[in-house]
Amino acid sequence: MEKIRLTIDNRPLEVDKGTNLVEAAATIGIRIPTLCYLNLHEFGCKNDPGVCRICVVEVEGRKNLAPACKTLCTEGMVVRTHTPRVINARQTILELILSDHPNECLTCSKNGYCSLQTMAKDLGVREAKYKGETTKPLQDLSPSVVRNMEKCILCRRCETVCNQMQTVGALSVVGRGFTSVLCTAFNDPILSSNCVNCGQCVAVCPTNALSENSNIKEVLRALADPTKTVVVQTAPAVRVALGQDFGLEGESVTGKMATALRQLGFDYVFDTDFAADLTIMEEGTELLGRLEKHLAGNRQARLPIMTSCCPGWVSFVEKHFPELREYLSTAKSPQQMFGAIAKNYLAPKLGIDRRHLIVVSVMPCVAKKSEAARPEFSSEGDPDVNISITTRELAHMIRYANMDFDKLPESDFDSPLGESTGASAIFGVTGGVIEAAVRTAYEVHTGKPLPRIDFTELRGLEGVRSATIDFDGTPIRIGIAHGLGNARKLVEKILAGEADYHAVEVMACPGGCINGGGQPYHRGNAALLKQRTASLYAEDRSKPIRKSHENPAIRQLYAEFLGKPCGELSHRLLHTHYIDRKPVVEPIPNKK
Amino acid sequence: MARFNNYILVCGGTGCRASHSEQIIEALRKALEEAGAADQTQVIRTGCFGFCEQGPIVKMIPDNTFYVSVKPEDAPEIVREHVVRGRKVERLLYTAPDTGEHVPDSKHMKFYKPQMRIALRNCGFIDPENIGEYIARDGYAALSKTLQMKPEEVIQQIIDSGLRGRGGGGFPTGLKWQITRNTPSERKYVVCNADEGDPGAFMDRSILEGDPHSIVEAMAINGYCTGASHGLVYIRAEYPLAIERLRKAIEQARQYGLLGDHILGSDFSFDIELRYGAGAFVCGEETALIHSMEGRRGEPTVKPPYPSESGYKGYPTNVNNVETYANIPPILLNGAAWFASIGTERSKGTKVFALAGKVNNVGLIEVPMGTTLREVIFEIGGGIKNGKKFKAVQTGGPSGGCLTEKHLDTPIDYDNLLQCGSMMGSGGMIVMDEDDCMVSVAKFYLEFTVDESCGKCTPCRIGNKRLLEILERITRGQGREEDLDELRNLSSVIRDSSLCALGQTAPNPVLSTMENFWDEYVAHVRDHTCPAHRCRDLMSYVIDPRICKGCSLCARMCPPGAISGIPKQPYAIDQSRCIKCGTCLEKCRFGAISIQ
Amino acid sequence: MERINTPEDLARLRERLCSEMEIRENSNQPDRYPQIRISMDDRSLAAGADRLESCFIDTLKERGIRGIVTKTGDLGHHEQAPVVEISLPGEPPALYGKITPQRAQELVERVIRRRESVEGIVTE
Repeated sequence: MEKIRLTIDNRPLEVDKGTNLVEAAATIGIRIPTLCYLNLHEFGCKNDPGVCRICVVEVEGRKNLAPACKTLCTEGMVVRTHTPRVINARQTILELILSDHPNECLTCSKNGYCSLQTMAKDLGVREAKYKGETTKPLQDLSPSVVRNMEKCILCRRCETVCNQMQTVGALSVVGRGFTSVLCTAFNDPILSSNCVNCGQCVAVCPTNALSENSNIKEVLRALADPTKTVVVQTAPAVRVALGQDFGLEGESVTGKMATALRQLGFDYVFDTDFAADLTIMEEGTELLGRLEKHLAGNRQARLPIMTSCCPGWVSFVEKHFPELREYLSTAKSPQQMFGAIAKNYLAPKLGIDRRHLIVVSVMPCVAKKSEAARPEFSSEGDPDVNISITTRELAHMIRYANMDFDKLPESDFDSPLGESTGASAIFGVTGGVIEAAVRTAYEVHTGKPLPRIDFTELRGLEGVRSATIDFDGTPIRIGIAHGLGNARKLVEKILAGEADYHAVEVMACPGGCINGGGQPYHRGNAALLKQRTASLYAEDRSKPIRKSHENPAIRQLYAEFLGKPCGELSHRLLHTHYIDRKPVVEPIPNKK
Repeated sequence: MARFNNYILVCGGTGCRASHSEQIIEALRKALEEAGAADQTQVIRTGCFGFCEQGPIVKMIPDNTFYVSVKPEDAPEIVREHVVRGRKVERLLYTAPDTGEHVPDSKHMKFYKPQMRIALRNCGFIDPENIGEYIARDGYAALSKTLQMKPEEVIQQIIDSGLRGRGGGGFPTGLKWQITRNTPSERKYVVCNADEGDPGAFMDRSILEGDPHSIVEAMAINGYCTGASHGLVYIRAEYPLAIERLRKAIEQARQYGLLGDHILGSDFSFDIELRYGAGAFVCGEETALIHSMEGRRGEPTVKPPYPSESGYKGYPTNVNNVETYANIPPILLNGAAWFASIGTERSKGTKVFALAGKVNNVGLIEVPMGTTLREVIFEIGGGIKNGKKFKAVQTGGPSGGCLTEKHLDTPIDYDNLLQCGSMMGSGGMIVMDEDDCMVSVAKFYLEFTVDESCGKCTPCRIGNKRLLEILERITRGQGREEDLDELRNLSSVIRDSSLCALGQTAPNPVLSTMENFWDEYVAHVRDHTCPAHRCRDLMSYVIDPRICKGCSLCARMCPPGAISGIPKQPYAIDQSRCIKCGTCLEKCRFGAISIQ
Repeated sequence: MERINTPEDLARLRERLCSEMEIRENSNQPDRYPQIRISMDDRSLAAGADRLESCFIDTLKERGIRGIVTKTGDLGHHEQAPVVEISLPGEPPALYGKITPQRAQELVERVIRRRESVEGIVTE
């Protein structure tokens, strides 16, 4: 790789050819401020339209200022990142942005997390002197995503993420000049667009233009209600991200999390990981069922079986590829399986009516809010999962409750819905679900013990991956995709007959749930996401039991209640069906 | 083909068409039939003569009689008197503004004398819908010659000629072609930028309406040189006539085998497609233009990469302006040395300008580079209308600046105009007189750029908007002295940090008018007056009680009834009701009313 | 619509079409070519001046000489009708009277082509 030598702020450095000035400066500890630039490298998320112009720098020999994120290093370049001219330009540009931004930081739900706020602080803006016309308020609510477009700074991250990365195409810039807005087609409510709630737009939005629909109030109300028993389940990816707000970035904080939840007043602190093991039982059995049919020569067997635990992916299939919905596993997601078990098994066990049991889930995800609200996941108006909140919302609640999180002692989850295996922990990472499934499916199908527990060929960050696992003589072909753009590529390969998979795992979020739309903001730090990933694999390794079917609590549940995987009761409670939800576009009537 | 003794050329450009030039043609043909002269005299619809303000233009060949403001009703007289009896119709002749006398023909018009029409060589001369007339005037001869040369040789000719981009960028054309040629790719495109967006500019439109084949030929030459077999013309949808003429020209060229496979028996194949703009000035910027053609939002993207390296659909793309293309065939036929002998040291050849504003002769002109502004405005333009005093001339459209009295002897070329604080731009030239308010002029241009901004980058989207809002306040009488510093600072940041040339140059009119007319700005913000009496909110109409006779005429004529008084005693105007329409001043027989 | 297949085809086509442009081309550079103005006063018209335009144009063409032929209002000297004025480039115009088609051809040959001095109408 050709090397380029240049000077930034009088300091010499050497970088690979093709590096831009922002990345180059970062290697020597110079952090050029950026607002619209975002590069998550191997996670396949990159936005560099060069539009905010905050990152402008002086380049010797160039008449005007250069946008550092778009300017590639050239040999002998001399760059200055903080001359008076540059600082004046940055401050003026920021003042311009602020002149078209509501001045309500103190009451904004992004207070303390907003990149614009941080920028104003860092650049020392003391005056909002440009007064003039402002963008009209534009609010749009949906169960998962809330839009407040008067706070948008047109960084185009959400547009890039929705169109290029996720290939969903729900958001785009509309209009021109000062009146341009980043919105849905015809400014329709996001609910009726082809949005799949993946929440990646929320994950990358630097301001509060896009945020999750907060359900903290409902949780607090439930906790304060003496007539209700409130239980909580926490997803695998939450425990390696929750600590970020409390100085424990990327670390696994499972024990403190359980303590915090108890302090908050939850009657029972359970673990979604338990339900993840349950999902493996159901989905694994379903996989083997279809597989055995196929191996017996039955052409009706629907292969590949596609995982269904990711609601963003499920919506993607229902809205964009409804013809493939028969291939999705009928198994519900761990969140929903938990809810069904809680309402139908736990509630009677506790001697209470299911309506008096409130199930709260903490998810790294905003799509889970919409998933919980699906009518097919309710019984006579009572949802299996009452409220779904994000990791970020939980962090807020922990602060409301005056807890010094990092000083909390560790504690364990409650029984019977709190015990889990290492296989369930890795659900939060791309490749983890299918690896967990393989660990169980292998032993059940071959009747032999696993030759190895770690299937590293299923791991990694490549957008579309495949591997063949030898099930004692039967090669099982597996396809994996993370990020919906990659999912689309994988699906198109399958539709074109170019791929012959038995099983496919898809995560809507690049990297998996650790990079979910509800997680503490990564702010473009790919290393942070890798740290979360590493912590989950470490949790897997640390567990005494690492195969879902060996979870004694799961065995107990089947023995006592469910019977067998994919049995009659399991089918009724733990499986679902999918609907063609392709948005219908009304044809424009012909003008005569 | 019938042999005609003489011709009547009628301008078929959009301007003259709007004034019924088509009906003039019909009437002339009918009158010729009736006079039995139809087989001796041919009526031809040509392109733009450039003398637009006094159109429709009818020119008699071969004596070059130049009739202006012709109506269809004049046709019988023209035939009867001039065609049959050789007697000019005096009342239709052009009157020289300085002498007040009729000018017998175009060769004696000061408007035409200093002009050198290279890009406009065929406009006003041939029928643009007749490929035969184009061929008769060496049409496609340059292409023929090119196909027998090596591409590198041809490119070298263009480089040696010194031709620079006429769209405003001024980039050396030959060099651009060379870069595209040297970028390896299995597929390349050549594009003609016919999006002409500057308000009031119609240079490209006239070339496309009057001589579309020159563009077809030049694009084919470009394709041969750079290695492209696909040509695209991005033309604004607001030019339906130009689109029609170009479409017909392409069709004819195809039928004659001058477009398509194996042109003139060579290995070179080339064809052209039309693409239409959708009403966005910003799509004249080459990257935005390319994105618009790709079906994406017409927004510019950061350069590099330049289109010559990666453009339309990622392929090397060579974008050139219409006028640049129009110069290519003459350069190749007459030689690089010929072209380089015209103009100044660093700006070769001629430039087409759309001369407009407060001059007597408004229209389209083409002059050698190096012609002075004085010559253009006072010789060709015929001086300032109504005997008023020259104040400024705006060049470069919304991206340019104002030049004043002290710049009048500047030879026009790319570098000189830049040095004077303006730019060549695509060729718009608007002349202003003492009655024009320079602050309003700056505001007018900024209104345009704010409306046309794509909205992508912060400095232009919000910055130019705020700049406009400050100017609006100033012209409404709500300006403060601090505003002037703010205008300067904001302008310089916008220039320094905008993504594309639209944003970068939008503050130019502000900076240039502030530089040259500082006093006017100060008067607006400090004294809250408009010296040119244009900003309504800064004007008061006042009745001088010493002169007023109390005749009450003004009070009776005043639309909002703002004037009151007792007959035979001085009347007064209620400022809070006055709408500044000026009726009272116009009607007062005693000159008692003035503006302050 | 014939397809042009070779550069030579193009050149031939141009040759052919060029001649039809000649009158327009000539008029573009009036100081360069001889000008023939035919008086259209009543007497000249009665004496057949209206055929002279075509006559001069044809004659010039036959002899391969480029010139500009126009009708003009009234050149006076009605007793010499039809009256014609010929100006050679760089020289003052000269008037000629009693022009017939034959005389027209003679003028073209002697005055224009051979630049001879021919007796015309002498003006005081």
